[in-house]
Amino acid sequence: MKRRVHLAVALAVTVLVAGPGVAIAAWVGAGSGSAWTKAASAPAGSAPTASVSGSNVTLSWTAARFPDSTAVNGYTVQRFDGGHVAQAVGASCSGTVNALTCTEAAVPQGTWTYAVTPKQALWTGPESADSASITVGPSLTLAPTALTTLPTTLTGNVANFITGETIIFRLDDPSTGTVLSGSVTWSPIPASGGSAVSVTVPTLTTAGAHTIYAVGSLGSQAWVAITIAPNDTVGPVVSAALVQKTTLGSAGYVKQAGTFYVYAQVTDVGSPAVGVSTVRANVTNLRTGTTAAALVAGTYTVDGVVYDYRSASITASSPLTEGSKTFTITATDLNANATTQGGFSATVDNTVPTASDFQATNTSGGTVGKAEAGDTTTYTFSEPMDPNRILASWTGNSTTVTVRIVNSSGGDLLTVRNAANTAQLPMGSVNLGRTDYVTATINFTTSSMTMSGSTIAVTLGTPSAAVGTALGIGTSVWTPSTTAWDRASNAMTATPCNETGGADAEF
Amino acid sequence: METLIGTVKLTIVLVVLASLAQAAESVKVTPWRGSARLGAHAHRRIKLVVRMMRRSTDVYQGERFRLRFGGAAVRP
Repeated sequence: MKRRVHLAVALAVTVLVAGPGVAIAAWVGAGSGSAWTKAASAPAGSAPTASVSGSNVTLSWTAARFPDSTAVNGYTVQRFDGGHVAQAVGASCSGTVNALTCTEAAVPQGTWTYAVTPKQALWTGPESADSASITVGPSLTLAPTALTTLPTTLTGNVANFITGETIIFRLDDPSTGTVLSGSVTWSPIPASGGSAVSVTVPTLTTAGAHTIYAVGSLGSQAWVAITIAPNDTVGPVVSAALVQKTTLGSAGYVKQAGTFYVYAQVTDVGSPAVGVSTVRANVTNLRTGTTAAALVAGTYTVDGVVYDYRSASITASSPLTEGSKTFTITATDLNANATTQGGFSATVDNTVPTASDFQATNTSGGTVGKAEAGDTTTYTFSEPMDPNRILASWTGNSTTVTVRIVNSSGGDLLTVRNAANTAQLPMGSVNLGRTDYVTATINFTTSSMTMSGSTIAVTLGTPSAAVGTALGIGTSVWTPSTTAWDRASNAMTATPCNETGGADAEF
Repeated sequence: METLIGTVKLTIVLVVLASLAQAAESVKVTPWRGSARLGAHAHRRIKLVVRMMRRSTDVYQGERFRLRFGGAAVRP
């Protein structure tokens, strides 16, 4: 220690002298006193600045000086984790550093802060404030990070990734986030550990704060925070809408006093889109006065198409004239941009369907008058029927059923049953007009049924027993089931229908 | 009575920090060299250099030390 303290000492000296007439004078003066001096204190350190290069962190700081401007002759360096827990400092910065800079090598991956403490001999000054935090390990830099339009491609670099890694980019979550389109100039990552990269933030990414992760195939991970400013000035897009009776099945048809849902596909757009706020339907042409029926977000499938909004049940007006009725959908986003989309319609059908015809035709090369595999029965209705009502979840495409012909003294009866042959389908029954088609009940399993327009064709499958051949002609009479509906849920009449063309040999 | 002019010899006799026994070993006061002539009951300011020793420990930071000194008049 060479701290100097200046001391002012005041010393009073008294000199005593002998009285008059004394031949010899003597010096007897003496005195004592005290004074104070105060030691200096070691100066505080100044916060170091840290820079990262690979896994090396270089620190520098300004000198800590005593009041007389003398700098201390050493410093200790500390590194802290995010919880401000001191870590072991690498050799080049450990102990007393007699300089104003040092570089810690092979710093572990993580986010760190540093502080320095002045040292002067056995004295220790106050520790400095922490440096700004630095991150060591794989890094990702991208620009820009404040986005105002989408899509936007960001460019930058990755560094300190493991040699040989391939990199993908994910949004907001390194494991499950949406994979972003991007490119890595040097892939797999070369020995340098770095590469130029680009990544695109896509349209429809929500506004706000996000994180882009660069995820290495060998476990490296780095990220960059970005923000997307709301810049949505246009209303949502209503790409599709329809109505469907609440009993489901065929869409686009309602009857007066019938209940129905309104469905819509709505997507907000913008750069980026802020999201859909409300979706409402004006169906006043179907339900007088209903100009803003709210649709609720969800996942709804109608005729194989997924819709993301649906109304509550709406009851159609009554009376309500038949024909096409238009309706509109108004969608509003969170920025209050609204779109009213028209061009949608539903058909009002109040007409009860009836049976028009029944025919049974022989398969090519088959025996006339003999019900056999490949023969076809065709039911013709006055209008298209709701297939879902004939057989649950049936859309009209080919489906397996069972045809049953029951021997009956009043004329053999043909019915159509489900594939498991456990229940009759609501297609009524057909009296084949003769009693000699079968002599016992025959089930034609693996029969197939298809619907096209107003007709349903059923092709016979394999008979459960031998089938005879009718020896003459007859007139088939189809008695329909009132359980069947048309597309607007008007129930079928039970009025029987004779086959057209007069008596003939069926099959 | 005649007032004479004399010379004073100054001696620092002790450096004291009441609560710390090693205070004297942590502080070095450079001896004052020289002489001062002054009359009776007169004052004179002198400057001393006081240094902290390298072996001085942390506890002496900012501490106050009391210096005791003495002086004697000597025959000119």
